[in-house]
Amino acid sequence: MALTCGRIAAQPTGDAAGVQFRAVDIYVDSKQQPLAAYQLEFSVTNAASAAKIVGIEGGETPAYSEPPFYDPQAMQHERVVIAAFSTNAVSNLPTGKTRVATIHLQTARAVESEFELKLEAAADSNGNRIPAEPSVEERKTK
Amino acid sequence: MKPGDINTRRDGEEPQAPEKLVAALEELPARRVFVPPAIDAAVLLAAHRHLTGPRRREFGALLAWLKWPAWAAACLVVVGLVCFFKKPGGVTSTVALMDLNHDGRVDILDAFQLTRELQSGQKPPSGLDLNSDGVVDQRDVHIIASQAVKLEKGGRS
Repeated sequence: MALTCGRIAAQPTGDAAGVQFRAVDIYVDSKQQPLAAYQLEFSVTNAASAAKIVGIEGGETPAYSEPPFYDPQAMQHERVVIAAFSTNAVSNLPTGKTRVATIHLQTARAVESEFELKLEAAADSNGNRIPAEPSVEERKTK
Repeated sequence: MKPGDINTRRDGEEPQAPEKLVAALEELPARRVFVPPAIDAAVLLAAHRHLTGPRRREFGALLAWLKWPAWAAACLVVVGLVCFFKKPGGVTSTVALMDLNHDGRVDILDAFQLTRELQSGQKPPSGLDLNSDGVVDQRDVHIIASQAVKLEKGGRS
């Protein structure tokens, strides 16, 4: 199980009341293997940021363009498990580093958000587990 | 007490046995009754069994008495286990069914496996009709996937 920890630099959008919104892109790097399924846990670990998950959307490739499975209970909380799979042909599955989802956060303060990302499963088109690395990047606002 | 009663004992009188009985008793020591050794041994064995039997019978009776509560308890345990695992919608049995790849956990790979089985035309086990609509289809896949990402207690578990 791959584990990633880090901080999101503060480039939020928000209002004068201090409520800020951030979009966090979730990536899975399956190297040379086609990524047919993944499941990972995302959590914000520092309570100081008072982060809450307010939205989840799909990724960049057609295989994962739809929002992943997640528990609606995760909304307004700081932890979520997301998962998705694709039955596309191997040639239509992503390889390498792929953005599989985006998580939108609301933070109450202009502080860095510390997070943890744990890859719980990744598989090829036959359902066999494959090694992969998760990573997260904050989406830059224009 | 009647005066002519022969069972009545009177002071100074010795009981008198019939003469035939007295004669027969006097002849007894003179007669030697031959008992074959086999019969003697059989009698001894029977006596031994008789004397040692009651203790074993008591223990056997105790065992017999304890046997029925033990059977009843065992039956209750079996029935309880069956009800627990076969209960429709039971969490344990349902989660166990969802673990299609038998890796000890329900995750997206189980949903993925069921999808691949459905697409390949394999007939999935009827127990995977998780929403009880009479057919195993993508709706059941979604139930497995939802279980895979389910949070125990909201955002923090």
